Amino acid sequence: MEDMKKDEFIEQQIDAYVGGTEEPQADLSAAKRALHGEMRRRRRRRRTFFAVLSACACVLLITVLTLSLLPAALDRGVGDTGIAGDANPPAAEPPTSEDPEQNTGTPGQNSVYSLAAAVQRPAGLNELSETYGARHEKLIRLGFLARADYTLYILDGEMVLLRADIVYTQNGARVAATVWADLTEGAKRAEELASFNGLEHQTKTYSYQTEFSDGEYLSRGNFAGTGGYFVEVQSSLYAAFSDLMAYLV
Amino acid sequence: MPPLDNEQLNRLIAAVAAGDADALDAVYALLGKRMFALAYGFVHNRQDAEDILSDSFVKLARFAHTFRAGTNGYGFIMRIVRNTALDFLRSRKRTASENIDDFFSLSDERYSPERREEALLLEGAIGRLPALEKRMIYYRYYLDLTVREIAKETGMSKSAVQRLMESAEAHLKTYLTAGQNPTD
Repeated sequence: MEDMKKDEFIEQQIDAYVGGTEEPQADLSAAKRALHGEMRRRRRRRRTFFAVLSACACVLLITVLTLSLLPAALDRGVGDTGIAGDANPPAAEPPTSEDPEQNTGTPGQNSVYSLAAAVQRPAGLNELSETYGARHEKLIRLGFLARADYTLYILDGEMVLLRADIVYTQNGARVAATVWADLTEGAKRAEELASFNGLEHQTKTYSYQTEFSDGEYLSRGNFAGTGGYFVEVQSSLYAAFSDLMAYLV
Repeated sequence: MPPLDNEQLNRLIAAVAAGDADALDAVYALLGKRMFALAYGFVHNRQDAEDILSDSFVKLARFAHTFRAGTNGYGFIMRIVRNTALDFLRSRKRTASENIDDFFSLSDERYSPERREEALLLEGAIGRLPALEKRMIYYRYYLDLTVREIAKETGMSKSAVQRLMESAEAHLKTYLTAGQNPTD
């Protein structure tokens, strides 16, 4: 279905309406610094990628040369039968610029996305129970037990992430938690959740780390449980995080 | 404000993705007020709206490379602003929601005196629309969502969205025209 064109008259009216506001005073210096940082990171990733590629190419070349020269060397070592060309070396791999391993150095472009590019939509418990109740029953049940807001992130029409912002009281202490549930079964990952990789500590089921500041513990956890959860908990109660993780696992 | 040129915007986003910091200034010059108006509709506070605007440009700088060339650049940028505003509200432990009336309440004391009368006319016309039609106008003209995207957002069918949009536009034009020609 071809999309509806906007009405020009209305577009002009709204344009003029927005245009009458006072000029905002936004500071773009942070954005420009972020842009430079992003370019540096990409250059660094490209250098790493090409370094890995070059190393792989070197290894491949050495392997090819070794394989092609070794039989000839062995033949000479066994004795001269006078038969030329009898022990043909295995056909050398033709030199190729395509390295079948080249994609392991960089994540596939299609598997990493930005939350900023996704559409957010609040989701109700009934809808979530119907659609995701089987896989994320415990997470959704929290909405019946505590105060919870759920948000679905949609990318190109596909639900990719479910976010739950939960607040409750445990042993008299306030607990504020955010749980992100991966809905793509690991096929896609949000760039913004990369900070959940490489956490300090590891249990049998999840990795985590905790910081203490201003009387509260801020804990972050990552486990590939049912679809993959990324969890953040803030509370003055130290056990709040481990209790929540024990519930979700 | 000059009419939006999606090709120009596509080129600017591509330039940002390529690391051109001046392209950020150009996007700001082209869309800054629209982005600010959207942010302001969420927070009703100039300082907060400007913070959201700044944060949105940081996100644009970091994620411009995820933009697919040839698609709707304006929608891409406004989506960044919308998500940034919702995240801002959540981080301040405020309810992250969209009250459509707030996006059509820009004519405060700082609004251009020359355009105030027209602004009040538009606000009055929007105010007369039923809630769902108001929402359609917001989705289509503020966020530049397609019919398909609006259908996914609202859970309505595409044909229902199309009918509602046509009705909203017809009503709005009637109210605006009547307001501009009060003797009609």
